[in-house]
Amino acid sequence: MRVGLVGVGSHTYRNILPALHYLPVTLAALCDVDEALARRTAEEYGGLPVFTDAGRMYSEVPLDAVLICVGPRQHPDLAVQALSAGLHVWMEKPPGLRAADVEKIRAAAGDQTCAVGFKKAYMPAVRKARELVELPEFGDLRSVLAVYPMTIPRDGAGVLARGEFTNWLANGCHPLSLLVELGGPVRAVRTVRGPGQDASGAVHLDYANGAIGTFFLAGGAPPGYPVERYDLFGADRVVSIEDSERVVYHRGIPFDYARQRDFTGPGTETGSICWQAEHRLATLENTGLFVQGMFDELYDFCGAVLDNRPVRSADLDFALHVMRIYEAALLSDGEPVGVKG
Amino acid sequence: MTGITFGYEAETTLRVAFLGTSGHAFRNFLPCLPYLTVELAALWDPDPARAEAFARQFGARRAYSTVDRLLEETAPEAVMIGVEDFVGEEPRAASLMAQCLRAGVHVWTDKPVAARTDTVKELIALRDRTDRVAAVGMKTMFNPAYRKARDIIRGPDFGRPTSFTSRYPLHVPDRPGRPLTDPAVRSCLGHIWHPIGTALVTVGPIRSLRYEPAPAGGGGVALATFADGTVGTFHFSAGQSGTSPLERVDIVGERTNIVIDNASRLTWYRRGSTGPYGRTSSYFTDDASAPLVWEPEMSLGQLYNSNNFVQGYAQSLLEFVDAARGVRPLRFGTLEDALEVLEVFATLTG
Repeated sequence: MRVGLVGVGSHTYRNILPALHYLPVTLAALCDVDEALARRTAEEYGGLPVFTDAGRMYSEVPLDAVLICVGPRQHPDLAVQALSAGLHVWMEKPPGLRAADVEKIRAAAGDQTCAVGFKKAYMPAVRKARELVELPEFGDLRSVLAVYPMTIPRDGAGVLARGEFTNWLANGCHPLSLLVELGGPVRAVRTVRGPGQDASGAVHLDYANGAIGTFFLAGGAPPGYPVERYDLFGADRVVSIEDSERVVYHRGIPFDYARQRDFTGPGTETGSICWQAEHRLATLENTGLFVQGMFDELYDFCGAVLDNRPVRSADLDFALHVMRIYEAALLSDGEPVGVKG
Repeated sequence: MTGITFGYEAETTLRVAFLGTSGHAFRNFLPCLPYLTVELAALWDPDPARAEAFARQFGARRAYSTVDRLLEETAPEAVMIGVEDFVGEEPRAASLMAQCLRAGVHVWTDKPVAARTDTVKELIALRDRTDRVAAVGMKTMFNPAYRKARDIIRGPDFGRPTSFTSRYPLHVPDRPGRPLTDPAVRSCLGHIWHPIGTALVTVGPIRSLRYEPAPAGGGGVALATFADGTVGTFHFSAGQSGTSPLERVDIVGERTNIVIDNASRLTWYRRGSTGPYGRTSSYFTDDASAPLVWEPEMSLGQLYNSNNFVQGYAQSLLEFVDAARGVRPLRFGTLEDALEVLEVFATLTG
């Protein structure tokens, strides 16, 4: 399908444009308010038409869809504009500054496909974890623990009122989207802050299915540290996702406290199973675009458009729910805050 | 490595052409170009339709199905080669590199650059005569983990390297003397660059090798002596599982050693002790001697965790571009390095 691209900054250059090589798309035009930047990038990609106004691009270049990668202040208007022009839309996260922005986009979407780039929902590790959590032997999901380097502003209501774009939105939505993808809808959240204006702490999630979640806000983690870790607890089973690429399914061993003399257990039906990306081969599955879900989120969008089917995960309803959790966690100061369903 | 300049930020660019449309070209070489400050002037493949398709995909200005015409009409400053086929006994890369050098163009090619040491010697003579840069994409010599190991080994706290062990699933032909056109020999030629490149960049050249084949599976064990006296073993683990990380390297110095797992996780066990045997109640040593671990963080949409950077492809091409622009001479992935690899190849298969 023919796609246009709005926003050709560093993230687009590193992650969106390289992913297109593996997608059933023809890149037909670029748009950016920085015309010189757009022209340089367009030259690299074969001399594409360049625009500084998305509306002009939509009227002058035949397109099926547009990929928007600008920022949450611009995404709502850009998405509505593209949808109004009859295009399918994929936009990078965050979709806006407020949940209401997503509602506005949803109202404009009609029958068109509109997806948001919550890459964590598409990570192969998350897909595998979901498959494991849904095994009968896993039992009901009881609890989820997420560890991610994050702080949360103290004046949440002020952040929302002033329309601030903080790291809690920019990157907090990564683990939040994963927690929704694996745990399902959230009924309420409760945020506990540590000291300081941008505080470490924890967000407790009360899932609609009865599970409980903890998003540990690991402020103070050094750069280059493996960013994230997730543990999902079922009935005598645990699924762990470590550093985005290592999935461990802990099945335990026959255990007799104080009498056990062998940590391996008999046969192969006990113990932990581990999958991890191999890093020596020059293949696709071990590169960031694929490990981190950027390819799969775009591939799902393309499939939804071409096959006329719903987006599998990060559609606008999903995005709206993530944004509502984002807002509720900002507003909570130790007390539960409900998340609209 | 720090500070990549993106293509759109470059004040000047190197005018390059790309020859070939291999799978590696699609996945690993052409996707690196946005980080090389180059301008892709032309792309060649003997199949005109395939050349056109790749040119369109990667933004090459023009597509060609004959190399002569490409060189004549687009006059690139440098050429990158990513082909996988053979002309007779030799990889096509050898004749393409020679053709480009004779045209006065700097050349980088994916491995294997050649099958015979004599061919590499001819390319070295041609390179010297034309005063051009000739580089071979030996990615392991640019892998950040192996480069870090090299720095540690040459630093003040490692002593001299004493022994080296590498596990890599290289298939070695079951008997010597098979022709260079034999598929088993070509398979060995295609992959031997990796374990030997790792040895070259960390310890150095190998001076002797004695090989013992495994009873089944296509692998075996080689005992090596390096030029500096270090002894080493290459465990060519051809029978290992496809689910296993391919490679593990252990380099021992003087009361210190380095382990590199999965080509991406480096642990340096620095000089230290956990205390007297049987009397020590804690395995924690003081911070100054505690083992150090580096591995890529995999969550962020950054360059360093992309496989083209984890494995060294991008760095190999960056090194070539710097050399072609006269920033500094080629340090790794030289034709002399290729000669070292092919000496080992000849020992194993000859």
